[in-house]
Amino acid sequence: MDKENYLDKPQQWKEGRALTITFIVTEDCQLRCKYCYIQKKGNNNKMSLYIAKTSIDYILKNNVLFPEQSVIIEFVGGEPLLEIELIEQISDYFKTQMFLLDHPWFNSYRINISTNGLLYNDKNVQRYIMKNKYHINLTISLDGNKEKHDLQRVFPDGEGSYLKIIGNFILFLNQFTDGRTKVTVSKLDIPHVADSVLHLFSLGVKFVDINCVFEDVWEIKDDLLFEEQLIKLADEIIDKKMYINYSCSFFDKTIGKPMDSFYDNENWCGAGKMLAIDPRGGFYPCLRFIQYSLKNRKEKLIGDAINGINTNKLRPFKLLSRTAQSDHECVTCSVARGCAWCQAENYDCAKSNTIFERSKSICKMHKARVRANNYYWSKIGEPV
Amino acid sequence: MIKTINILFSNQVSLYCYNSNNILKTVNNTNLIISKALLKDISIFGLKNNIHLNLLLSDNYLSEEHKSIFKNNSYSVTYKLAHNKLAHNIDDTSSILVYDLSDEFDFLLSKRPIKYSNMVIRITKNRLNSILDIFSKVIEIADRVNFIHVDLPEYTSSEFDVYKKQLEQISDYLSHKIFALNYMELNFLTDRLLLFNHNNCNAGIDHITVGPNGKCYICPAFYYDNPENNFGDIYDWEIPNTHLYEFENCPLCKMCDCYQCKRCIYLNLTLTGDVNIPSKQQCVLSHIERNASMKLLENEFINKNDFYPIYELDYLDPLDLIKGTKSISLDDRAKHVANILSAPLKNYNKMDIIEAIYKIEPMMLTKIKEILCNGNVRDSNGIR
Repeated sequence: MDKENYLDKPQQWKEGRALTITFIVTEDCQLRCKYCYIQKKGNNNKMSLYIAKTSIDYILKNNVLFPEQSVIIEFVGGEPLLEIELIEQISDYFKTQMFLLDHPWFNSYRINISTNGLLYNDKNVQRYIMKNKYHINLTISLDGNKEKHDLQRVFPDGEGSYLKIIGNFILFLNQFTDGRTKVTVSKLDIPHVADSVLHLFSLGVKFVDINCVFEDVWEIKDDLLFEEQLIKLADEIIDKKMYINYSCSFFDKTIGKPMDSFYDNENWCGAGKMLAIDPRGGFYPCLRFIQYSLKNRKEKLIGDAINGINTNKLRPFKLLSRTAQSDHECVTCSVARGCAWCQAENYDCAKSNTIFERSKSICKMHKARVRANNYYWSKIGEPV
Repeated sequence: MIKTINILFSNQVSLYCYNSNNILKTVNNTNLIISKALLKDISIFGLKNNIHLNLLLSDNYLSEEHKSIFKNNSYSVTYKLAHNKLAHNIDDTSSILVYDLSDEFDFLLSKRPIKYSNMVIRITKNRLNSILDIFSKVIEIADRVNFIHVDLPEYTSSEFDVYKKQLEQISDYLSHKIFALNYMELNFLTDRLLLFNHNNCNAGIDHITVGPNGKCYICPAFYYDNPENNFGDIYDWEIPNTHLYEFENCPLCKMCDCYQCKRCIYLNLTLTGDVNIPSKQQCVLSHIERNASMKLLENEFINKNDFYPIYELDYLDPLDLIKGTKSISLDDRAKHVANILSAPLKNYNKMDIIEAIYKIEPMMLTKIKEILCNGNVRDSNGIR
């Protein structure tokens, strides 16, 4: 089969080389998703405009520390759209300052927002989207079909949120024809994986970005059930020739191969290459290193809006590589390619205060994915 | 494998390494002296496990009663460290004398009647410009002098500039003196000339420290920093992630030829957050010293054949090779690092080196042949 006959995964903007600056505008959220990494939900910490402006001033005046040619301004929460007015003020200030300082980012920026979708049709949200329509990239977390979505993404009273957001999700797809969603798979979701991906295809999502959680939730035989689901999904996609117009990140021709210790030694995770700013103005290598995301360890602060970045605290992140944090089993694994990790989860689960110890909770799930992936490409006629 | 246990006789033992006296404040001001029962248990532990005991004394006199504990119960034991006041009265030339620079320093020096094997001088940044002056005084009374930078974490480019100039002046001074004296060592200048591999501090690898509270620590600084931050006691201890203390798991140090650098574990952890990653200050300090040693080799009074070559570098922080202004490709970096690290092997013939490789690990030759004989034929994913 020719490559042109199946939909490949989308390319990253600027080949992933843009700096991502994440503003955690609020820690509040209407939902209490069961798999959410935020440990203490429901607090009301919100970012002030002063903190946001001070952070932006520091970042734009320190080009040496941020040499990237492009920037992604990201807004997350909690639920970021709860603070749409603040988001608009921050965006306007960022754009104005980039213009006034003749900063190279002025002609090369994107705005990313990850939302639960509940407020997507709010008039202020819609106005903001229209105002920034040539720069905005929005992701609504729809977790698949109603069964899977409502298993995890629930209100504080336990009610599922699917019916509350599905209308907004359709509106979103009408406004963004290549609109995407980020799907997360935890233990309870496994029986719904195949139907969920197919459901999203049926709604018009062309590329489903999906991954298993990195936390240690997996039990014996979960990998076999997961593989079963992926085989079912593969059969549906191939038998109905859906691969021409749709794709799912679980199936990827490049994964499941050994990796060279010298040439394939990049860190998987982008922690340290991005900057996350919490409501108090603390700087972090990624939002997962903020205290509210960690179960066992202290947060990893690398600076703050007032004092700037402590470059010593960034050094370990700049030196992270695959082999520096992997044990012998992982380094020599015959299916290592595509096996992901979350740096903060590694840190949170490590035996000591280090980011150089890789959590292996996902190992069996990755191997199951590789087996299903081999099946997929073999059946499609292009064995990996 | 742990070969030595340092025993802090009390919580008043002076610091002799790269740690500020400020951390002493965290330990209770009352004088806590290790119990005789605990000393006896440690000595028996040393006897049974072939572990050398190193009793750190400072301003505490060791009574005959204490000494008698070790007489019949220890494998081997030494008494080390004497701080300002006690040093004044110490006649054991094998003891390490530790001086904090203070007003009484000159007075104490003038009272020295005999020559000592080892002196530690803890210098603060406001006295950096008097290193030559101090050195010219102590050179007559010690075979070896270790200058320790107490407040290294606070060093900026101005302190490093002063230090660099002082080293240049000492280098001139020493090159004339080196033949007048029988032999003398100065940690920051002559150590690099005499080493062909890293002279690690090895805390957590071949030695640990027991505090006066009976708890185990990586080194004394960890005790003074926070007595709660221990990894057990003499009866039951385990260092978590002990491999991270080993040189081979330090990604930056593996690229560096500052063999005299102590790679202080405590400073690493406090400044960068990881025990295996040095701070910018540590790297710059060590490179200034390394470069001063290189300049010393150029002096006409030095017989170059007595020492291994040191090559010129255009950076002071090896991190620059990876992420900084000197960033170079993987292959070029490998070539550069292999070149500087193999400098001591420059005059050995190829067959001697290959034979040594075979004696260490025959499979290494197999791997070398795979790389060199097969070429680097790879597909676009880096797979052979």
